[in-house]
Amino acid sequence: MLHFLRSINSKAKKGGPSGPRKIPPPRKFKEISSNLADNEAYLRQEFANISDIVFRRFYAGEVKFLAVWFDGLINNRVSQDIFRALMLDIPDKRLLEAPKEKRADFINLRLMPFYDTQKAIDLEEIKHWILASKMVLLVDGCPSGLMIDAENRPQRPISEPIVEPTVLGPHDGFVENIRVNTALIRSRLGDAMLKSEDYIIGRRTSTPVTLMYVADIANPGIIEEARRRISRIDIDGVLDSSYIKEMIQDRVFTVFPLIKGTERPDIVVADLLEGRFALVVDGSPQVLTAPSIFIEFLQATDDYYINPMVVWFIRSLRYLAIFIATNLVGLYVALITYHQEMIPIPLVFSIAGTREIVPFPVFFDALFLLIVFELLWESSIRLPRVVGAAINIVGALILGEAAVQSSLVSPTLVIVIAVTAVANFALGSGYDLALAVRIIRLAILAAGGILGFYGIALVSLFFLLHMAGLRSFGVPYFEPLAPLISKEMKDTIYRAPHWDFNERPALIAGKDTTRDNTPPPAPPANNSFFNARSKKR
Amino acid sequence: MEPGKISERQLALLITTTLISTVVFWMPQLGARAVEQDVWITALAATIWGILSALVIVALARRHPGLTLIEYLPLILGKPLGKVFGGLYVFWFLFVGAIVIREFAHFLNITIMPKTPPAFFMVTIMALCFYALRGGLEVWARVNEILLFVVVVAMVAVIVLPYNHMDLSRLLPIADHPPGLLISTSLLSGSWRSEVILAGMFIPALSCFRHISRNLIISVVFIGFIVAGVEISAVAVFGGVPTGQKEFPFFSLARMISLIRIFDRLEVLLVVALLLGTFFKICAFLYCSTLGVAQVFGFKEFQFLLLPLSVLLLAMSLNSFKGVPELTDFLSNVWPGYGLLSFGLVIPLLLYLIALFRPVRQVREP
Amino acid sequence: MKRIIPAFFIMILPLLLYGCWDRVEINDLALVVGDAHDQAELAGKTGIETTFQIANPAVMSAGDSSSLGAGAGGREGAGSFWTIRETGETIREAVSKMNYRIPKQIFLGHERVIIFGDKAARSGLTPFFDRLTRSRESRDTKFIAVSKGDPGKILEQESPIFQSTVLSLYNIFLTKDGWQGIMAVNMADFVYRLSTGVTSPLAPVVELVPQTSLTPKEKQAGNINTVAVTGLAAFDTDGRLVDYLNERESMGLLWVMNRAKNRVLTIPHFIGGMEELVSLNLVKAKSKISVSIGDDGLPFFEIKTHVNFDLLEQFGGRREIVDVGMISDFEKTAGSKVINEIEAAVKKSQQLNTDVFGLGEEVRRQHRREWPQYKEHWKEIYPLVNVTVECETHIRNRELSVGAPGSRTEGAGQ
Repeated sequence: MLHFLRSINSKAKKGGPSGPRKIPPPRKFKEISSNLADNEAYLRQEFANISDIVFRRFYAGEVKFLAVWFDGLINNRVSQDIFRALMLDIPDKRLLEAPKEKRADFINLRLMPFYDTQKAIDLEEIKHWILASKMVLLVDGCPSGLMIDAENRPQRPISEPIVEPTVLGPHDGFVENIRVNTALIRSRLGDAMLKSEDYIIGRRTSTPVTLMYVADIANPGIIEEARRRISRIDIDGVLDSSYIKEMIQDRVFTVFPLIKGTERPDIVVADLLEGRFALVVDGSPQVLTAPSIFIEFLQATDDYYINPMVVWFIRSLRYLAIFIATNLVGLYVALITYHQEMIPIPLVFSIAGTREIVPFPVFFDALFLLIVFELLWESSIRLPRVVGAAINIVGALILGEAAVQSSLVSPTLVIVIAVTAVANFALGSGYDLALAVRIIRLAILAAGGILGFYGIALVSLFFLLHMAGLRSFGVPYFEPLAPLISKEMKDTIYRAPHWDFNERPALIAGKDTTRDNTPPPAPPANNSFFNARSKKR
Repeated sequence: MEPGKISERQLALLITTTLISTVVFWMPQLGARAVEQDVWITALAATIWGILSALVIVALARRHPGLTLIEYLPLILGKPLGKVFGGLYVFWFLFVGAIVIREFAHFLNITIMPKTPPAFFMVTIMALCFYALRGGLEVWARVNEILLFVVVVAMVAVIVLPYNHMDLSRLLPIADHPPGLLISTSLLSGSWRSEVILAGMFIPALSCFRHISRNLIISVVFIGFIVAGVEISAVAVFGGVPTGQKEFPFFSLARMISLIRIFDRLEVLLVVALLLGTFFKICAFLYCSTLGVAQVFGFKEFQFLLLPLSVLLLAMSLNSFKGVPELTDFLSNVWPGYGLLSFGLVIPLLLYLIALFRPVRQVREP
Repeated sequence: MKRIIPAFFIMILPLLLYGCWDRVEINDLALVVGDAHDQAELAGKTGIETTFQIANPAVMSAGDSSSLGAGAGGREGAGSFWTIRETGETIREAVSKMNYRIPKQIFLGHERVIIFGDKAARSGLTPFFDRLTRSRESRDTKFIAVSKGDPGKILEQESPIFQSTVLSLYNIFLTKDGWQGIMAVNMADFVYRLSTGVTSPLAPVVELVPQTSLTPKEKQAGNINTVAVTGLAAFDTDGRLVDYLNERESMGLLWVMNRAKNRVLTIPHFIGGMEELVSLNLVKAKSKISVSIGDDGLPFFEIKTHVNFDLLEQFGGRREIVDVGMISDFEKTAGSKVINEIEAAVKKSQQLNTDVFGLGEEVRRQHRREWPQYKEHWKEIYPLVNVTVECETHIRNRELSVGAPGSRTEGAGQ
């Protein structure tokens, strides 16, 4: 793998990784003319009023050439290498060896010191290659052109994932370039069965999208369905993978994330190995994996890198966190306004005492504080970094402290909201879920304020029923809890040690269901190997 | 007719929820009024009736694979009589469903929200049931699977946690009442247990059909232990006579929990657990009556009946009883005859006997 | 189906607008912590008089009225509780009359102790219990007590340490059940005993007693009394108070009922004709009642008590406790003292004809065939039955010292 990585790096140095070699089907066909001037005229007309395009005419010996590319998208060094090769290094005679019509082929095969080129005979195709950040070379007298992949789009270096940081485990994250992203996946999963299919989506953006799956693990039905859903898409532009996500998910009106997006290559590889497919979209650091199930959003990458005994505890903490994040405020309001006799004896006077001087009903207090919290959340995302600290101070200190001091809200409620806010971000890797939880929390707060515990039970039941009815690419969303599949409980609250993950998820994986045949670690009981060594000494 | 498929375990758990959720409201009270501290014996004895019901309904289903109770009634009794009995069964489903909704509303009304009109509880829970059933049998059977766990944990907690108030000597002397009285009381407890015949409507939706009688028997026995546990605990805490004087001894039991000043006032746990359980019970009855109506009248679909039947069920429950005294009067006097001694056990038993002597007709009703 | 969902919401949402039937803010509740009931004269009829002690939570929680009490709810310098007294023909009626004077909703969900007056107790507590068991706000874990005087006075008294007398009583009952002669009785216990028709209910007696020591502040405020538990009241099977048991009888009762949890038993011990006192501490006590039917047809009872003690104090001890014979002397004396207490309790209960031990129930449990013939006449039989008491005591530890400072081992220092 190291070798492979190195090879990527060397490519990056030379030409830079490039996008997929596929363009949308040409709508019309225009043959390349043998006369270079005609071709140039056509292209100039097609690219009229575009200032950042470069038409470079040059001679290699006596043969006329035309290179076309968009400025800034092509690696300068590579293009210089090409010009140098053609204009300076090649003796004229060699060029003239080939017949006129075959010149493009000849150059491609013998004279182009560059790793990725492709012949085209259609001017429309040529046009699309130019638009797809490639360099195009046309030769006079030859009815075909060359696409040269010297793409070097402006891009961010691979860095630590921003949304999903971890303590242990790999620290590289996806970037906006599809080829880097597929390389990150491929470098981890060097298996010929890891298939990738290219799609170009977006009538105008022509965004490359790659569908990746491990052919002998994934369920062929699910892959076929994914292909079908992707090919249905007809949109003018795709700016992020979430565009695709919304267009291929099973149910539109739901707050729950039905397709997981992740910045982490290791998560994607783990998902591929469980039989899921991945969808890499150019221009988005979020790679989609599906089918997704609910509990995935309560898992974090670290869970697989730390001691399973500890994971048990951390995961239970997360399940508690989602309960607190959704229910605590609602329960508190219901308890204070409907079921006062159920407040435990030691608490009743302190809660009643702090409420004594608060003028508003607790429901509105809770709503107020919750909205303040949501506003803080929202503003801290939008604000420039430099101002962020100021807002934190205003939010945390002034709002909380002053609200209590002015008896607008009771201190108990501030604690409740604070715990809720903390729990909201302790949900594992699912930022999508954290967003869904916001909505559920509001619904439960409303129910608790209107109907007490009865309302909360009703709304929770509603969400459970809703969730149990959801499917992600045909896989029940609430699996393995509902339907209850005891065999697959190895990765819920309890994360089995890696030698115990014997089977892939049955509802997701297709053919190859065995994940792991490692026997449980069984050192000899008397440690004979150790004793043998110590005897020698 | 049912497009979804459920597993045998899901069915057994669904039946468990159905059987457990309302019997614990009333049986400790009604039973203790009759046989005081021996009430738990009747709960265990009622298991026998439940097992009988379960065996009969499974045996009938085995003779008529792929058919529901309503569908094979005409095969056994002939078409006209079969349809009449089918209609009666549908009415039974509806009426018991209506009682359940009524019980549920009164329970909430008495225990946590006295001023809220019972009609409100009925409408809201019915609306949610409608939503659940619209999602399909698979979905709510699935949710039931996880929520039953919550229900059982809450119940066991309420049974065990008041241990510091328990005096087990209050259960003595055991079997102090004449056996006749014990058996007649067990008929009452067994009436709830005989709701296991609802399985007859679900069996065709099973994805496999192997251990269903074993599963149903386990669930009936399990319910016997839970109900007996509730009754033992209530008698040990309150004594036999006071248990019979409480409207909801189980709820009062939950109110007795007071441990180290923190595990205190946990009755809300129980209320929510019973609420969840009752919800699925209503779902089960509504499902059975919808499917039943469609099959009695020979419709090809049953989803479109869901809304009218929900409204009908709601109307029936709104008009069924005036209040709790009438309801408990019905339960203690009429319910054994209406449940166990007719629709729950005796009619299915007779059906089975008739089916034994009639040749099996393989032709399905058009 | 697409149309049904909106229709459905249109149906449900107006219902939600009507919601909030049971909504009440916690600051609109008058949290009653304790109530007292007594009989009262009401225009020729006998009615009841009810006193509530209502918490002022702002002060109760903060401990002082400086910052939080001075808001919309409370007045500056308000006490931690206030009381209200009202009469009526039923409890509910009396409570409903209070509404004219209380600015908040009366909420009984946090009652902790209920105190009945002597008059009410003597005329029978059964009618009072209906409200307590029927109300959904009231729970069976609350404690019951009887006051020899006016029960309302106990609620009106300020407690020296606790925020209110009721809280202080509640704490006594919660933490000191089975200490000395204190027995905490909750409603479930009382109702159970009442329901048997054989066993006599019991309730602890609470009284206002003068404080034994006063701080200057208390002297200034004239706050010289405090509340104390002073024994047990025995009721007959219809819930009428018959008489009070004194401390010794209460202690005897606790031994038999297996309720004794913590007890200091002081016994005299003679060394060389000189008396010294030894205090023993109860570790574990266990009693067993066995019933047999005598030749005369009456049941007779054997009470066997087994008690483990630790030695707690040797007051004025002149000899180290190293001699096992001396310890068995202690055990013997302690055993006879326990027997004395139990016998006193038995004697008193037979005298009052109140079966406080539940001996009738024991007959029912152990001889259920013979029980029906006694059941109807238990009242006549009970004073006549024979009760024998045996007690076995063990002293396990002598805590951290072998002998009192200055004491001598026999023969060693002479």
